[in-house]
Amino acid sequence: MKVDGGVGLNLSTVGAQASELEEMGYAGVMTAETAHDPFFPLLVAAQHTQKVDLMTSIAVAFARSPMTLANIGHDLNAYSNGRFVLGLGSQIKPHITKRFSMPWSSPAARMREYILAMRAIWDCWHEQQPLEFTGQFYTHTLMTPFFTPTNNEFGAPKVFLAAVGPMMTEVAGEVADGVIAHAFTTEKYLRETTLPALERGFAKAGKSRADFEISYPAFVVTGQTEEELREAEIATCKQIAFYGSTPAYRPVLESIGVGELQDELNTMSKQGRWDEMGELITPDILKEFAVIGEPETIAGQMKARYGDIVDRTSAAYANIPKDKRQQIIQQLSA
Amino acid sequence: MKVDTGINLDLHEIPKAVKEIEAQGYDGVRTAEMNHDPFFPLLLAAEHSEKLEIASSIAVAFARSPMNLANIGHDLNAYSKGRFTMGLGSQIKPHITKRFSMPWGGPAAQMRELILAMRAIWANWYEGEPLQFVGEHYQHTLMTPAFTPNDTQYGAPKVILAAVGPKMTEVAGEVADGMIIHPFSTQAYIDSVTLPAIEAGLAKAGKTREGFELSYSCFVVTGRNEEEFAKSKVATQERIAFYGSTPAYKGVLDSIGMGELQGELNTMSKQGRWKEMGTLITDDMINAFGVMGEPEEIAPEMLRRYGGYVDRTSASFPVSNEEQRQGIIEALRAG
Repeated sequence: MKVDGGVGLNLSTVGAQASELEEMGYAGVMTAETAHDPFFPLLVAAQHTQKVDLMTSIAVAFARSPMTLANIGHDLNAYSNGRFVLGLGSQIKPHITKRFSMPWSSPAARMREYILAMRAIWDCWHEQQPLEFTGQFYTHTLMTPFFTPTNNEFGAPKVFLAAVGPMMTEVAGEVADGVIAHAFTTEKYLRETTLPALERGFAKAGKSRADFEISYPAFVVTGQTEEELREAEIATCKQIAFYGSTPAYRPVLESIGVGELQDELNTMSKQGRWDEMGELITPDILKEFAVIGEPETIAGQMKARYGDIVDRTSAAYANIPKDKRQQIIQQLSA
Repeated sequence: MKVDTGINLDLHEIPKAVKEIEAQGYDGVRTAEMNHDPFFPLLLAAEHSEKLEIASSIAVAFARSPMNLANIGHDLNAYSKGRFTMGLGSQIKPHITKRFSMPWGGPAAQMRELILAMRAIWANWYEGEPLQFVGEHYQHTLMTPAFTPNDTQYGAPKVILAAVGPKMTEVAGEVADGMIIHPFSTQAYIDSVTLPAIEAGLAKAGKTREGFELSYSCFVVTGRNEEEFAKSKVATQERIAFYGSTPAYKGVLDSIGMGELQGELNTMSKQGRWKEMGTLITDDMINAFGVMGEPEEIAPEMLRRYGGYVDRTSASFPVSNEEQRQGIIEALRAG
């Protein structure tokens, strides 16, 4: 199992941070799109590393034209000698329309077309195919030599797609090179919903599972003392409760037979009772979502539980010392 | 007059190139958006230089959401410690709709709104103003702390706009911090159209010309020997003829009484007679569009003609050695 680590968005420190993660044995460094451009830090990280994959996890697809993203993807992949992975996510409607002032409709169908549009552009640039992409949401029919990159040695980057629901997951299986599962996923949901949806997508595209990567962060509750473990447990329960209050994630709770908890969490969230919400996450529920134990046991537990389905993971293990973290990473990677 | 130079290079070459450019005495580096992202080279330029101003010249505005541009502008300006200028241009409709799959409205009105939208976003981030931008082309009404940058020490970058026609030029005067005059401009056009339109825009916003930065890189025909000179001249003639064939630029040819040439060039362009088109550009026309002469005559002539109103240029000069290049840069900067 490969292990990826998050780097911040601070352009002055990201180079050193990425280089440290590479030395520790991480397979990839990741940025998320929050208050900053998610691609700039990876350009800096590319300069300061030799081996690690450089990944967005995720960049907001619908905030951009497929053409600008195709260009960014091409440039980062060429500059990093093929190490770039374009991780995309849909965000939710209000952020696309009211924050980015961009169009939103049927997210899974739109995302499918979005990724196919980028692939058509890359085929035009890298394989000299004519650009004749006329979809329901995107139209790309104009390309001239002047706007065509010529440094084609490393071709197109890999495209990963963040997905929770079965429709978006199927799209990932069909048109992406990998899926980024949500941390708020149970093992049962992964096996009973995510994998079958991916298989449907593979079948549509005539792909095999071997050509595809499943990335799953997993909640990890660990600590070196009882007290640290307890703290990590409380924090994780709160996070699970927070995600669990989201109506769209109800099927994940249903996978372990506690769908009705969603209503309760949602009501409490509207009353701002965040601390109390965490208390509704029982030890049994926590176990379904998280790997729990002392640092020495984590890698073994992860492999036993997810080794047959997950290709890369990215828990932060933030509360344990660097040498222990490095040990987990090396055990997972081995 | 400040002097900039272009860095449309492979990203691997940027660090070394900008160090040399900085040592040569240039004020700034610029990227044009062609077949690569226009902002990546500027990030590396910021990292590998101390003082150079960095600017896009231009990035295609309508290819992007104002929110994306606001974010990119913020990040590059913060990282470069206030050295970034966002230069924007509209491109033309087919490129926006068929290349970028993005909406095209009335270009001047849409551009005005796009720049105002970015400014509203920046005002939200830096001054805590509520984000309530509801325009005809762009709506931005949602912002939360998680998406708000907090490294706000350097604030918003300068925004400059490329313009040719009077409407877009007026928009530049009204909402931008500067303007990029197209190389395909004559003194007569600048005097009769560009400068009055800028004044009209400035007046609308209650601004003065002070602090409004004008970039202009006239055509330059020169060479260290006859062969170089001839080559430079032919290239310039073909470039002028190429622009002259564009219907939207007829007004510029009108400014020197050559409006009818546009139709002829347009017809020839459709027949692919590009080389022949260049031969229609006379010496008088070259002199109207720029400066022609020995290398040492160029800078003084540019200063004489444009020194009164142009703040920065990025004309490139063929030189025999670095000393000569520095001489030209110094002469322009001193003027």
